[in-house]
Amino acid sequence: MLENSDGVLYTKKQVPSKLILIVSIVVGFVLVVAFLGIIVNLLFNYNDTKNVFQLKGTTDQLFSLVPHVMSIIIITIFLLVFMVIINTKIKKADPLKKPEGLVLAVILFVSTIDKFAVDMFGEKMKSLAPYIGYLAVYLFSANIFGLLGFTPPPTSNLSVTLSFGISTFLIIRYYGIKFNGWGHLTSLFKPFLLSPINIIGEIAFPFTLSLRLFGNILSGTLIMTLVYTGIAGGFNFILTTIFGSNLGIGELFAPFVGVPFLHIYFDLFSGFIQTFVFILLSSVFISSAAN
Amino acid sequence: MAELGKKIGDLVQGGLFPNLITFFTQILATLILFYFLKKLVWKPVQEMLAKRSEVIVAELESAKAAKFEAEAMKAEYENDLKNAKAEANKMMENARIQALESKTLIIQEAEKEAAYKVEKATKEINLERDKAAKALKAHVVDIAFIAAEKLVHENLDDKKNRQLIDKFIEEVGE
Repeated sequence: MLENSDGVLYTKKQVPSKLILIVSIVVGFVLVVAFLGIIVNLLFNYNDTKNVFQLKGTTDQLFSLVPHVMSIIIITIFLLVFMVIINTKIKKADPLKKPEGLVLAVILFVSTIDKFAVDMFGEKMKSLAPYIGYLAVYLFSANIFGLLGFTPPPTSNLSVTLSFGISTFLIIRYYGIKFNGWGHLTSLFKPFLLSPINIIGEIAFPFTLSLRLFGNILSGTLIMTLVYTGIAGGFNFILTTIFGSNLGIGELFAPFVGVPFLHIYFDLFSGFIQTFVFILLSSVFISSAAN
Repeated sequence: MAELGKKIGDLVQGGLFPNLITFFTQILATLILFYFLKKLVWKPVQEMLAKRSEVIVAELESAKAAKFEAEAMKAEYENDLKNAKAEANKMMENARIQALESKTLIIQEAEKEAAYKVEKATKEINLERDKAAKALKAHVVDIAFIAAEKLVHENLDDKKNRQLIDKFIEEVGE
């Protein structure tokens, strides 16, 4: 306990809270990296010829470690920390006062998604609102992850988008059977001649959903790679003709030549639109299966 | 060019070919994030909103009740005021009527008393006059007696009698 001139007591808890926060962030980061390193070392072998980590005892590409996994882990940890911060802020906030800042943003987001879910599915499926909120938060973070520039965005991986497609597909079937019983399955054979088309349409849904997202984000990433390489190559060519030797600094110019606008289009705009389309299509299919 | 081809090849190969590790990592991430989003964000926010709306409804209800009460009180006061005015009017009217009554009564009494006093005075005057008359009579008799005595005792001539009587009367007159 410390005492100042006014005789006010400070507990140890109040003084170095920022220091504790910074130390815990650094320690947590180091621990997470160490933990991931240990897991990778225990489970994977490094394949020198292919330059990839391969799950022990396998040779197939199905079990190799791709950089998108790193993106998934980074986003997951970031979102978890963010959720904990939001949780503490909401717990601290006085419900009778006007909400401010982050709390206001979170309340607006939650109530918007809730309203959307109620409009789409009705009151009986209001519990699906967090799933829609999760899709919105995760897909948007994943789509704009390319802006950070370390690893490719997770949604440029078909396995990731397919997992979303399959989870949405399972939710559709679950609610369809829950609210319509066997009628949900027998309706596929209603005009019996059309039953193959119905079945293919139903099964194709998760693939169309995931391929749409995957294709859009991957194409954005590819185009950005091409643009960066092209600009760097062009500058290298110009510098070589001027100075007579390749300085190899063409990459430094790329961020200043119209690339920010392309990033706004391919990462922010396209990411937002694809998130929105994904959510909208999922909601439409879920509500049409349930009602 | 070879570098670019390798980069794009890595991106496409890493993204397009099915990979169970990525798939299950994503499924795990989905489950974890969905659970914590529901627990850490959705529930507290909904509880907070519910509390807010509860408080707002309670406030509205109490405001409505207070307004109702105030209106009732106002009506009561207005009623009281009206009653008080009517009562005051009535009281004034009563007082006026009473004042009129007492006025007539007082006048009547005063008249009565005046009449009584006049009567009494008249009676007294009469009595006094009678008394005076009686006294005068007695005096006259006495005088007559005294005069007769004198006349008898002196036995005088007519001239002297006359003088005596005059003298006597003069004495009496004094």
